Amino acid sequence: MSLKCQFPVPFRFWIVLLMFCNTTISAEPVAQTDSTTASLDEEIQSLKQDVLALNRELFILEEELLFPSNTQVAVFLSLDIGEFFSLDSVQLKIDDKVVSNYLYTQREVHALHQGGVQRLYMGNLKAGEHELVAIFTGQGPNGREYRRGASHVITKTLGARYVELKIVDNDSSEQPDFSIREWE
Amino acid sequence: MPVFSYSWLLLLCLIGITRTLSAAEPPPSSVKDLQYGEVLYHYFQQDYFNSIVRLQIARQQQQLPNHAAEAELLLGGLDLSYGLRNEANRIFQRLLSDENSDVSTRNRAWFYLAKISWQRGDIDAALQAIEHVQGNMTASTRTAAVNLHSLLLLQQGDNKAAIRLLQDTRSGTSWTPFLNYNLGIALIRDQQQQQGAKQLDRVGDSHGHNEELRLLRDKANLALGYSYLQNNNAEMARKTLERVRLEGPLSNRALLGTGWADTESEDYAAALVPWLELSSRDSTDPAVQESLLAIPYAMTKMNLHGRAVQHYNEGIRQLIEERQKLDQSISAIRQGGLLDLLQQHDLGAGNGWMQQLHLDSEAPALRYQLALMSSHDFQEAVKNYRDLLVLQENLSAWKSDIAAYDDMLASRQARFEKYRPAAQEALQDTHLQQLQQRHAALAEHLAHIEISGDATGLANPEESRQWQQLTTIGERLAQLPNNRDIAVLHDKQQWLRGILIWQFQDNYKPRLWQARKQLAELDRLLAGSQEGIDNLQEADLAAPSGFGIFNQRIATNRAHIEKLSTQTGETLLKQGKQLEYLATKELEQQQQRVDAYIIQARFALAQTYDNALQQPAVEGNAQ
Repeated sequence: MSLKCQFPVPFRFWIVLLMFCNTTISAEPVAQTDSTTASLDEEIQSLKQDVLALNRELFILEEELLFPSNTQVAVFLSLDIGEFFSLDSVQLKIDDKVVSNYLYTQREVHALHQGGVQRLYMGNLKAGEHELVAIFTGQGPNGREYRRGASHVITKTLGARYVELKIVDNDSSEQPDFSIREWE
Repeated sequence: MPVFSYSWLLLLCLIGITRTLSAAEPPPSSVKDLQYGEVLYHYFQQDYFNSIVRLQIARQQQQLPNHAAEAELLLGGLDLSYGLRNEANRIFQRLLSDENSDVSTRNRAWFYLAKISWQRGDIDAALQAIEHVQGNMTASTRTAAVNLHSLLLLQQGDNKAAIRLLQDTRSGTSWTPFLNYNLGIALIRDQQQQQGAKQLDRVGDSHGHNEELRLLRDKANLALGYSYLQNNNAEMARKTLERVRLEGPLSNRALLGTGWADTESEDYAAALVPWLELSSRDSTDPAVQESLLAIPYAMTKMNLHGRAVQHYNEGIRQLIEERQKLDQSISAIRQGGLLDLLQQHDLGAGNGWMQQLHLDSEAPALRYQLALMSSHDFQEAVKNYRDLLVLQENLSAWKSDIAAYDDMLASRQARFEKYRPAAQEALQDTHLQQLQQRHAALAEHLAHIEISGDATGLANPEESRQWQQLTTIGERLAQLPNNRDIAVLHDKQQWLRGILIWQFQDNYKPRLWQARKQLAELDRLLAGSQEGIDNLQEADLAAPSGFGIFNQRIATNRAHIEKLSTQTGETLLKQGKQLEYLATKELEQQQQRVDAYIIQARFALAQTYDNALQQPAVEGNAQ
């Protein structure tokens, strides 16, 4: 009698069945044969679409209600490469009043590194001149503690105003540059 | 007697793999529209929900003039990542029907359409779509498309076509191990054992710089090891399986296979080493359960019948215990334990459609989560359940926000009504008009002074008084008789007048500049006042209708939130039931497997007793 014949074959069957299902690097697609699952999936897709549309409506309503375009100011933050600066937090002051203190997670910094732009602050300002000061904290070249500020005077007129805080690598000085730019 | 065959094993293990593909092409290094950057900010955090919302808002508000074309493609990719296959399908079909879409956009749209069909399990449609991807394209699109194409061909059983495709493709470095793996699988499936082994060996012998690559390396070694076992090459099977990491997720199966390789060489004592290690691990794993029976099997082969009996008995005890635990788990799931745990865990918002869930819990309902998660249907059901919970949270947050907006609007309206009479009074006041008239008169006066060069017009009040006094004195002197005393007084009056005129002339230019400046300032203030009045007038006219519109929008949206909350609750219940059904179905299958193990073990135990009775002296000698 051979060894293979003596061993209870189903043992191997079960283990191999699971072998390549449990650890796939990404899930293999399987046709959804179960009609209940399929119709429920359709229902969930439709519901998600409706909630997305509702969120769109509500965000626009919120913006129009809380930040009318005549007084609206939005401050964004972006990072270009960021080799010389690892961002930890940003403090934003408008007319010497702190309006935002933001501490970044690793995930958020990663998103900024990839080219994402964060909406840091939305608020209202009267027409006229306002001083905007941003203080960036993090780690500079060689892992040193780094704290730098940048300021800018914006002239608020009618219509929404968009301001971008930019952290850019300066290759010649091997230091980060911090600047503030207004978008038309 | 049945002859054990690995052919079905190969069918199962020789499935190609793919990497998790990102929702869209890498975006440009710098964004030209801030709002597009904001969409990417959420996208790169795999927060697809907010990314879609932000993209839709930016498009509606026409804030993406520089990224319009790529935004459409990105939206399709985001929808797909968020599980909205139908909407993604519509977007890609629309892009393909658009005559203005360039080759790159078309290629990507066909690629995603193929992926959607693949996810739906429609291999023919997926193949049709992927075959449209052609011409110039970025390296990442080309490699991703080839990878998907090869998987589809493998799933369709066209191994030769998959081999041709993979051999003709030069991939980027990061993709090379994955394509090599798939090529190895395709070759083995095509009975080209040697070439396939060579490909898998390259992957299995790689360094593995990150966890993804290390897992791929383990997988290649496992597949190759079992492939060698199938071909009765025990030595190579053992060597290959020993390269699988001992602490990795595939280690249990590798240990089991290593033992099998030893039994193939009839080295049962060696087989006990990996199997005994395996038997001490988590008994929910089928590999561990199998080792409970494999150990006494090897002992029987070594004629250690007494010890084999002990191990069979111990194995049966553990399997019965395992079966009871499965009963407990099924019961806990049926009583809602699984859903409770899913609700308690912070599932996070937008962690990505393809992300695996690993919940840290010892509760009976989650005891077999690893096995449950190996089921694609169950994984999808959990993701949908998780997404529904997030939608419920989202709607709940909006419900309280909208109530606050309602209150805020009401208080704004009340404040407006309170100040409205005063504002209307201010609007009717003619004071500003009078001021404007006075300003006009002053401007005219100054213009006259400038034209005539009349410096006296810019005299200060004291000088004006003195000038007026001297003029009066001059007039009186003119009426008096002309004598010497009068002449002295007249000269004095003229002298003082001259001094004043000199002062006027001397101060003329700075005073003119000052007057002009003050007039301009007055002009600015009056214009500001006028603007304020105009705004007030506009607000007075517009606000009542504005309040009305906002009230209406708030009411509509509130009703919408209520409706969707109810729907979400109902769908969540259905999805929960579905989840419980899938979980219990999976665990019942596990129970059947454990039952089969118990029967097999009892049968083997009886056989071992028989053998022991027939060969009583052998074990004593071995011991």
